[in-house]
Amino acid sequence: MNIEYYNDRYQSNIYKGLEHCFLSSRVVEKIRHSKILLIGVGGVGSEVLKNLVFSGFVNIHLVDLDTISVSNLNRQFLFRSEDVGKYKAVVAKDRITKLCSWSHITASVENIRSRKFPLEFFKQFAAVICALDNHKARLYVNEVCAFAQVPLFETGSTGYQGQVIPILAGTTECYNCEPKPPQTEHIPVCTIRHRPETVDHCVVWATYLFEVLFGNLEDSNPLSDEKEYKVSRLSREWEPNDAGSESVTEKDWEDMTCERIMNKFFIEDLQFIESLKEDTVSSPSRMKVPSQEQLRRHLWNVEEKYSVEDLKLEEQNPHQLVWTSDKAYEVFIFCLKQLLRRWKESKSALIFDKDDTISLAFVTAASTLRAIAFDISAKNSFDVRGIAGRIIPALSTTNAVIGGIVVFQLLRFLSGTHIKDLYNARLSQVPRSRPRHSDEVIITPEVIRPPTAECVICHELLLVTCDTRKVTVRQFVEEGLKEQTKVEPFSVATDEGYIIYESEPDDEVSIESRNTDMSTFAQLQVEEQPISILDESGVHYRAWIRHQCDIPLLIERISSFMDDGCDCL
Amino acid sequence: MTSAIYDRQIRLWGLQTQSKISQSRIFLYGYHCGLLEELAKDLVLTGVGTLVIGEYSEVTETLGRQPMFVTYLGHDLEQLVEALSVLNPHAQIYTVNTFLKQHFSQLVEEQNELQRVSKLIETKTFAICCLVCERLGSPIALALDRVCRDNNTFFMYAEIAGALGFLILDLGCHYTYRQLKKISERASKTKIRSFKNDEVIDLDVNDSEEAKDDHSYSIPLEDEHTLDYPTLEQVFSCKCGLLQSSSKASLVFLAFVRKWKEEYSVTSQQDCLEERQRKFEMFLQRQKIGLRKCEMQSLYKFCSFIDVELISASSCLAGILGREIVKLISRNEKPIFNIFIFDAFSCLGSIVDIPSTLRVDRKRSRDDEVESPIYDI
Repeated sequence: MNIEYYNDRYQSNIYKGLEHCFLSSRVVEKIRHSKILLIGVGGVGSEVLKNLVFSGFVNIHLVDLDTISVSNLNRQFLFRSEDVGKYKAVVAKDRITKLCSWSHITASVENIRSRKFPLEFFKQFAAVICALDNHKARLYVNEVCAFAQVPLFETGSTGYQGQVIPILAGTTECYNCEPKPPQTEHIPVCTIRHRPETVDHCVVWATYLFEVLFGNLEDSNPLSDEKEYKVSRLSREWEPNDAGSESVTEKDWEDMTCERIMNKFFIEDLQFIESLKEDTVSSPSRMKVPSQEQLRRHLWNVEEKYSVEDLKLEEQNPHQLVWTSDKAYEVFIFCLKQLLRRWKESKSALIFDKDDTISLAFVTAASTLRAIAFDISAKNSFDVRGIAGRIIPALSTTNAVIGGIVVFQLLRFLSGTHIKDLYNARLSQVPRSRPRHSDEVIITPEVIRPPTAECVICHELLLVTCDTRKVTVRQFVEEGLKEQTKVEPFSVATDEGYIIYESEPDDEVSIESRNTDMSTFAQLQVEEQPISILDESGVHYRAWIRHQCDIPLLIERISSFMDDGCDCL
Repeated sequence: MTSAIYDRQIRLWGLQTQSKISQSRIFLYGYHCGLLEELAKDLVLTGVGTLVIGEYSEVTETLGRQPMFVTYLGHDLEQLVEALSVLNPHAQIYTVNTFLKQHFSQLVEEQNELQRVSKLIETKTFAICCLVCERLGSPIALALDRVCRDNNTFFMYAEIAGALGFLILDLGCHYTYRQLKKISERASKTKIRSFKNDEVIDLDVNDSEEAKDDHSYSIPLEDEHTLDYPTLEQVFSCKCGLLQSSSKASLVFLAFVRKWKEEYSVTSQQDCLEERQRKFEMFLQRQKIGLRKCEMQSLYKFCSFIDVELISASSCLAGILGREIVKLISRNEKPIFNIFIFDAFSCLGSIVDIPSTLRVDRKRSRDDEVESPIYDI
């Protein structure tokens, strides 16, 4: 049986399957000629890509800027160990093309927000499938699909759970309609600084400590007023200065700095917190605050005791025993010294990287000491890595379910089902009961809801088409917004916070915004991205500016996609 | 280090379960279809230690009559095994023939394929045996289920019919599992502090919501549960028309699919949609099954895709099945009890259990072909 014959039989089975399932031969042609955009070729994306190709789709565009890592290999089956480090989109395209010679895949190693993807790019697709893993990017994709009026299939997978959500902004609820809880729960500053209750609080404190000492200190860091402990400042104190002072050796400097940091964060701070407690009627338990002598004795001999290799083994072992305080102090000092040296060599800020053994061990040690002080159960470096690195557990089986459901829903849509008549599908970890049904379910369909009234993406989108080299901000405001659209703008700004128009500019405001009046869109580089318009009555709009040569300024309100919201055959 | 590959799943079910997975031995048998490939792929990616895959030997002759499957990992079983080995070089993956030659060469002589497979199960090598797409409707599945029961092997029956997927589990009459308790509240109470040398001995398992694998030195806080699964025969002979379940119609359809395979494999009639729908009506009449009009309408539609495969539906069913297999290995969660039905059109994955009142041991009658346990296939 030669390969060619087999390929024909593959295709024939695929297309016969479609025909029989959707009772239409036109659906086959429709699917063969539809272009699909797949954003993200990770866990869910790999499954989706395979399902698309073996469901008869030919033209697929992949976008993913990520590279392959070892921990992807338990589920992203298009990648192998020798591919680690290569670009996902490129390898996925190569592998799937080998499996399916008639497919036509384009791979882009880009951020989906890139200017390489203007609105016109999205409009060429029959549908977009989003297999991303972060909220901000999903919001962007949701918005651009709304402007482009392209159906979007949102997917998500976390551990044993997952969901598929078909979206057509304005017709169905979109990703922006329901406020999503932030991915990381916001922990109050006082909890981090004075009242940690869980090990997570201790881990977060430790990562902030890392940032204080070695990183770029942001205001958002709850320890930001400890900037005198930035290593960059500490190092200046010990540098040889005016005549009279002895020069300090490297080793001495390290030792002194370690001692200073440990005294501050593991004695002084804790003593301070304890003094706060004395004023209140709170928890009576005493905190474990070490003495200076106790700290000092840990300074000896850490170099011989520990190595990066040992620490790496520990971080890979989920059953590694939680460190005793002695060990935690020692590891803390060992890592602190390694990081000090690293900082000195690089002369620039260090960023916490969960894949860097020393950084991780530092955070683990610091969080362990913190936890011990507050009588909280600490965790080992394997677990701390998961917390500090915000690792989301993932399974091939969950992705297989989600990848299957989303492609089938896409097929239903393209065969003529109205998007409203598709379902939101949820895969749950345990079976759940449903009202009015006797059986329990693991995969739950939910009827798709209409857009929420307050959603700007579903209701207040303005598509601006003009020659961006010629149209100025003033023209846009006067002729476009005020005359054409009857909108009295109060402000117009980009998502980066760049204000290009204000109806009542502050006297103190920068000169920039005054000059933007006569600038063209092209000069301000505001095309092909969403911008915010706030009008005088407080209504918030989102606008998208796209360039077309030599046409008069045109602003259209985007309303629901086609009349009946389905892609008719 | 291989645990780096499994990092994202070890964080979910722990090192102990991952270790059990790497020692597990699983047997897949049936049609070389997309469902088989997807399941094998998911198991191999998850780290299963040994996987043996067999397909019906009569396949080439009945190629014209077999359902229209969609496969992509290999043209034949040998190629499939090769492709799977690339996905996980540490797994031991065999075709049945290779496995027999290497480990049970005496069984290679067995002429009758079902006998060969049955004897392989009798060696008690495998913890789990999964039948993927019954070729004749029921007899192979029933025979395998009996052999598995007799040899303490978990049996899983997986069937796909276009946009519908079915799983029936038979884990024996005394399947036990432990449900790890959530113990976040206990965390703070189960620490022991040694004041002498500043040691903190951590006695809690974790303080997160999901029960993970326990550390060797922690207190096991488990409840043991036992389940009594019906045999496959009991499930097949259940009068599904009498079920109160919302999934009754789907189960009726499964019964029809089995009947259709049984008849179609014997006759070589050309069939069309109308012919199938007619057969379906006859089936309902003979079985004296009454259905609501809306149920009838959707089942008529289902008739059109009895013999096709849609990779998206197979992928989904394989994912569910793969998860169940991990549950059987870890014994830390309740498995599906006992039937899972997936309908891709309605995005519904529901669980039906046959109540004991409806479990009857089939009375053998003249109409029944199911007499002897050994089939000449």
